[in-house]
Amino acid sequence: MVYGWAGTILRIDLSKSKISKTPSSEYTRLFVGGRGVNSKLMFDESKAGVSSLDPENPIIIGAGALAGTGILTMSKHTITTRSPEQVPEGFTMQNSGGSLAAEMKYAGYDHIVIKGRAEKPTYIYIENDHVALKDASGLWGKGVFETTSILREELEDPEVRTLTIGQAGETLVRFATIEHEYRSGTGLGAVFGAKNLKAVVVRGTKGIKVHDPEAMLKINEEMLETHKKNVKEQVRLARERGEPELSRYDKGYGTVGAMAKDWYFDYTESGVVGYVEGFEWTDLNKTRGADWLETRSYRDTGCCPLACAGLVSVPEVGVGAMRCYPFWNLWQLKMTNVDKMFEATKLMSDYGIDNRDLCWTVSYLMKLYEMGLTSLKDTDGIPMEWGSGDALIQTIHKLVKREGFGDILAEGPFQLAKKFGPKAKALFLSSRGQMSAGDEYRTQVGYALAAAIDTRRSTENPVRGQIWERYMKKTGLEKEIKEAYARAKKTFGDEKAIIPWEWEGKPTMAIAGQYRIVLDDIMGACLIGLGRFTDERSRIKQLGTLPSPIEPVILDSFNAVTGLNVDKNYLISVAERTWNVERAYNVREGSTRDDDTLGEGWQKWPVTSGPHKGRVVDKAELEKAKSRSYELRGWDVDTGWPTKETYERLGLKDVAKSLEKHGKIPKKKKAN
Amino acid sequence: MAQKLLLVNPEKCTGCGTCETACSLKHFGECNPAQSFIKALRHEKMGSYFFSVPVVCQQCETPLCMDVCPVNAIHPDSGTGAYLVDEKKCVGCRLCEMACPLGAIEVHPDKHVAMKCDLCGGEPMCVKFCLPEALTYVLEDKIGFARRREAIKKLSRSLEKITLESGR
Repeated sequence: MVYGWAGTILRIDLSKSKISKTPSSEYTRLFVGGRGVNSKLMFDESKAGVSSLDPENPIIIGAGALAGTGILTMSKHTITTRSPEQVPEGFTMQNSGGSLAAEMKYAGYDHIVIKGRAEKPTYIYIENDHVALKDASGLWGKGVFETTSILREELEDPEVRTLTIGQAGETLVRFATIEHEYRSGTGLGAVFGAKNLKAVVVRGTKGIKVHDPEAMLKINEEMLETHKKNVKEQVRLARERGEPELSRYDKGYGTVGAMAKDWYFDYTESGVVGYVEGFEWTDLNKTRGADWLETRSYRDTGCCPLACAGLVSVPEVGVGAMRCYPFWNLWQLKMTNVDKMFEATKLMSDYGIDNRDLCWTVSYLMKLYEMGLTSLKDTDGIPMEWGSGDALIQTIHKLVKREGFGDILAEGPFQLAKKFGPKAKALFLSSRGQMSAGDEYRTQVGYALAAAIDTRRSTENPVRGQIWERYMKKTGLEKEIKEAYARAKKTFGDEKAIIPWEWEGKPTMAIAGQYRIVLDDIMGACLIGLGRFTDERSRIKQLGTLPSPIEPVILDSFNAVTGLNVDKNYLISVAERTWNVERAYNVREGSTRDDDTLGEGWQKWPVTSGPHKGRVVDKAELEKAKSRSYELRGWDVDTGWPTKETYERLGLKDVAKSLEKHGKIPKKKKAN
Repeated sequence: MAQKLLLVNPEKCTGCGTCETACSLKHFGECNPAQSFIKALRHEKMGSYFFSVPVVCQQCETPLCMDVCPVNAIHPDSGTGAYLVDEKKCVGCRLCEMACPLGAIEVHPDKHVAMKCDLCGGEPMCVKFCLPEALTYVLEDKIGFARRREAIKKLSRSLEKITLESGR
C-alpha cells in the first residue's frame, strides 16, 4: 500500500491530443515529489537545445509530497520548465500555495507533464480519472479573472481549481505568469501561451490514503500550540519594550503580516527604497500596510490560517487580493498611494504579469530617468517620475498590448536595458538577465553567492542562521548575540561566519539553505508560513551552528503520512540529488562557471546610504567563494560542472551517461 | 444543563481547509475533503475574488433528518446532543438528504448509509484545528454573549478614541 502519494503521473501531448498515465513510483524513491520529481522529469523529458517557447519544451506541474494532507502550510505546487526570461535560457520553476496541489492529488495525480502545442486555444479539464482537452477559443484574449469565472460556469462546478494565463501569457511576454488564486511568480506564462494552452482545471474527490492519521493530527496540534506560543512571546517582548499593543497584522496574520512593523528594514538592513538605494525615506510611514488596512474593509483568506492572500475593498478599484509584495513595490517606486499600487497589483494579477519583475523594471526606469540616462522619448512620453503610479499602470498596459517600448520590454527587461547604452546596462541589477527576485545582495554575501549559483535564479533568502546585530540589540537580545558568536567560533572557527556581509563560512551555509528550500518545495511547505508554526525562540538558540537543511516537523510529517520511516539524511540526499539534476540540465544546455554570476550592478554600484554605505559584492571574493562551494558539492572548479563521481554517488548514473554523450562531464585531473 | 453547540462564524473563515482534512482523517483515516462532514464552500465573484464559508450540521432544534427517517435510524446522543445515524438501521433511502436544509447529511458513496457530523463525541476536530476561530464549540447560553462581544469590538475602538484620546 502506498501512502501519501496519489500514484500517477499524467502526461498530455497537446500536438497529438494524446493523454497517458504512468506510475509516479518510478520517480518518488529518489526524488519524492514536488520540485524533486519535476526536476528529474524536466531533465528526462526535454531534448537539448530546445528553446522555451518551442512546443517540445515540457512544462511540468507537481504537487508537493505533503500537499493535501492537511498538515499546516503544506499547500504548494511547483511548475517547472525552461525559462523564457533568462539570458541565456535555463532551468526554472515557480511555486505557489493555494489549493491546486491538494486538488491534483485528490484527483489522483502527483505530476502533470504537458508537451506539444494545441492547434487552437485549449484548456485541460481534469476531473478524477476523466481528462479532456477543451476548446478555449472563447477564452483567448480574456483576463485571468474573467477566464476563471467563465470556466467555473461552463464546467458547472464552483469548486474547480485553476491555473490560468492572462493576456500577457498569450502575447508571450517573457515574464508573464501562470496564475492560481492570486498567487504566482517567475514568468512561465509565455510557455503556456506558446502551447496555445489557456488553463489547467482540476477537480478531485478521491482523497489520499495516509499511514498514521493520529500522528498527523498530533503534529498539527503541536504546530498550533507552538504558533500560539510564538505569538504570546512576541506580545510579551513588545510589552517589555513598552511598545504599543500589537495589532493582528503585527502578529503575522493577514495580508501584510510579513511586512508589518517595518521589521523588514530593521532586520535585513537592506536598502529597498528606490532602486535599492537605501532605507531612509521620510514617507516610509505612509506605506505601513497595517495602517492602510485599518481604513479599508478587509477579509482574511489564504491557504493556511495565516491568511496571506487577504481580500481588500478599495473604493473605485473594487475587491481584490492583496499580497505582501505590493508594499515592497511601493518602496521600490517611492509610492505613497497604496490604493494606486493595489489597483496596479490587481491589474497585473488579471493580465498575468510577475509584479516583482515589473516593479523592479519600472524602478530601474525611474532611476535612469532621474540620472538623465533616458528621456521621455525612450518611454513613449511617459514621465518615469519617482512615486508615479500612473507611470506604472501605463507601462503595464503598454507591455501587454506590446506597444512602443512595451514591445521591447515584453522580450524581457534585459533587452530593454541593452537598448539604453552601456551606462544604463551597468546599473541593471540582475542575475542571468532577470531582475533580482530577492532583496539586497551587497549586504548579504552568502545570499549573493547562493543567487549566483542558484539553479534557476536568485530565490528567497536561502542563507539562514545569520545575525543582524543591530536588530537583535534593539529587541533586547544582548545575551543571545554573545552566545551566538561563541557558537559560531566553535562551529566555523570564526565568528564572522554568521555576519551577513562577511564571506567566511558562507559556502557551507549556502548549501544548507539551498537544500532546505529544495526540501520545502519537494514537500510543498510554505517557507514563510512554516516559520510561524515552528519554534521561533529555538531558532535564536541555534544561531552560530550549521543551519539544518530540514525542519524536524517536515521529517515527522513525512513519516507519519508515508509510513516509510526515513531519516533526516535520506531527505537531505534527495535535496542534493534534486539540486544536481537541475544543475545537470543547465550544464547540458551550455552553462559553465561563468554563468554563475550576478549582474554588473551588484558588483559596481555601491550601497548609497545607511550603515552599509559603500558596500558592493566583491568580484574576487565571489569567485573564491564559488570555487569553495564547488569543491564542497563535488563539482569541477574550472567548469562548475558536477563530476561523474558526484552523479554516481547520488544514484544519477543515467544523468552522467546522458551528459557524457554531450561531452559535459569534466575531465579527470591528476591528483597533486 | 446547557448544551454545547458548534458555532460557525463565516466571516472569520480563511478557506484553508484544515477542518476538512481533520474531519476526514478522524472519521475515515484518510485525507479527503469530499468525504468531510464539514465543507468550506467557495463564494466567488467574477473570478476576481473568492472567499469560503464553512457548512456543517447545526444539530437543528427541529431535526428534519430524524423526523423524516422511515426506519428511525437517527437519534440524538445523550451527551453531546448530536444527531447520530445508526448504520445498522439506515437503508440509504436519502430522505434525510432531501429534508436537510443545509445539505449536511449525505449517503456515503461506498458505505451506502447516511453519514453526518457527530461532533466527534464532544471534541470536534474541525474546531480544534481552526486557528482563526471561524468554528467554535461553545455553551448554548454563551453564544449570544460571544456574538455581542464580537459586535461591539469596533464600537469599543471608536469609543476609546472619543472618550480617552480626546480627553473628554
